[in-house]
Amino acid sequence: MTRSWPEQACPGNDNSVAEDELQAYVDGQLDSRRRAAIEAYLAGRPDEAARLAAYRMQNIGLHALFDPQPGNRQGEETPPPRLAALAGALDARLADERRPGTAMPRLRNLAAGIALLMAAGTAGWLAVEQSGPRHNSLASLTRQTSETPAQPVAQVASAAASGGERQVVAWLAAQPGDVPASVPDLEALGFRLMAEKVLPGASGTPAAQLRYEDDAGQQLTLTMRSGGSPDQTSFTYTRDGDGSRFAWQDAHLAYSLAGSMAQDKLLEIAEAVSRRLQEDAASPVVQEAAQAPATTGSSEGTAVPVAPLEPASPAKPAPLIDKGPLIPVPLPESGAPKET
Amino acid sequence: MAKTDTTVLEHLPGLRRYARALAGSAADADDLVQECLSRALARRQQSAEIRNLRAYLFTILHNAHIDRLTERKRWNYSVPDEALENLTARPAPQHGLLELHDLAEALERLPEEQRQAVLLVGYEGLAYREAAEVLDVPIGTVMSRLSRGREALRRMMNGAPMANLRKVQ
Repeated sequence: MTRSWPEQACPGNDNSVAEDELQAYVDGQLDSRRRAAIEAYLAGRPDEAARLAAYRMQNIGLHALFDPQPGNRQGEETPPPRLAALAGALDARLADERRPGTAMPRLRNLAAGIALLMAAGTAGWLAVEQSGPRHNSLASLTRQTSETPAQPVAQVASAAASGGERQVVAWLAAQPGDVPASVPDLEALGFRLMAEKVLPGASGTPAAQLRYEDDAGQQLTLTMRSGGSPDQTSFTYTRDGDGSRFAWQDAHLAYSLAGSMAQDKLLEIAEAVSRRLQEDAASPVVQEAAQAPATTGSSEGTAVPVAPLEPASPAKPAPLIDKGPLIPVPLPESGAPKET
Repeated sequence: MAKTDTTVLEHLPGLRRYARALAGSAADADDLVQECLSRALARRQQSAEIRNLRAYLFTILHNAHIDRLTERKRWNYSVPDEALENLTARPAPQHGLLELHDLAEALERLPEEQRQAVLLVGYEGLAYREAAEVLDVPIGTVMSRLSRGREALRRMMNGAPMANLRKVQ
């Protein structure tokens, strides 16, 4: 940076100090030694000092023009939910990339999909794959839970504590592939397992259903069905009655989570459930009590799932990211984002 | 140096602020930011490591803006109405109201490339290196645009509009 500029562009500069440095002086991008040198230079050149002062006033003026004003009617300080949701989804994705070895891309994809759904703010079916048997599997699952939402299923007395013969665990064990070895523990979210059942599926394939309840009596129903997708994490949100339902699938199973709580609350729970399922499927050891406490990932203030940020470790190789496509959730209210 | 510990959410206000100054309307600006974030999200499928998240995001925002300029054949930049309304309500203590109106008008007449440099550096406070990355030009080009842009603004505000900077009708 030792160049200087043509006389016409900077009339007052006699070129004994590089114009670049004068600009850097205006922008406060000089170290203290050079700043002192420039100030000494300007002391004997009032015209030049006035020119730079004018530039500095421009910077201040730009802030006066464009900075959000406090009390502005448009509430500029708070970003619109669609932007906050997209930013949260992007953060989740970046956090995933920074975490060597332990990446759970499918889960993060799910989180991104949820965020996009929140951004879209749309009820009803979204982002279902257009064709193929996987779609059928997911659709029939959701239809099934829709027909039997939180039906009284066989009570399993102190199911979570007994650890005895458990039909859902047996059902899970019978599924092919890396399926979770145990039912998700949602105690950390305040939900206890109340009942579990294996239901005859609509198309002859059994499905497992778990019912949870918290102290306030709010109920959650998680339904699992074989027939996931090896490389898709298609994701849907539906609203029916006063309840909501999130449905998604991983490599081996399709899931549906239904509850009567608010959408963002259910979203938080769905995220935690899918995380538990991923963790459980990743490690064959059954973890009954040793759940990591910090996996809830509740996001305060916004409905955006924000993945906890790990310290960056740039020296390590990038994690092997699952190349499965990002959730194919279209944003209905805007044009589909185009790549460059 | 590399701010890998910052988050997109933290940069969101800056992106919106810059987009508003760049695009000339709050609605356009948020569309631009949405486009930027959508592109970034789609791009993460194959992208390499990000060294500087802010520069990365601003680059995508900038490209989205350029694409938009290309789409619209005619483009007249104007300072957002809200900005001028805000001024009437509460002028900045360092400036007179007239002076700020002059600045807004001068900014509207500035060539797009110079305006980008002035806004990125002078308003948003990017380091020259970052601005060069965002604009995808050598750092010397950033310095040149910045220097010429500032001088043009100063002359216009001094009541000496340069003939070649007059709005072409």
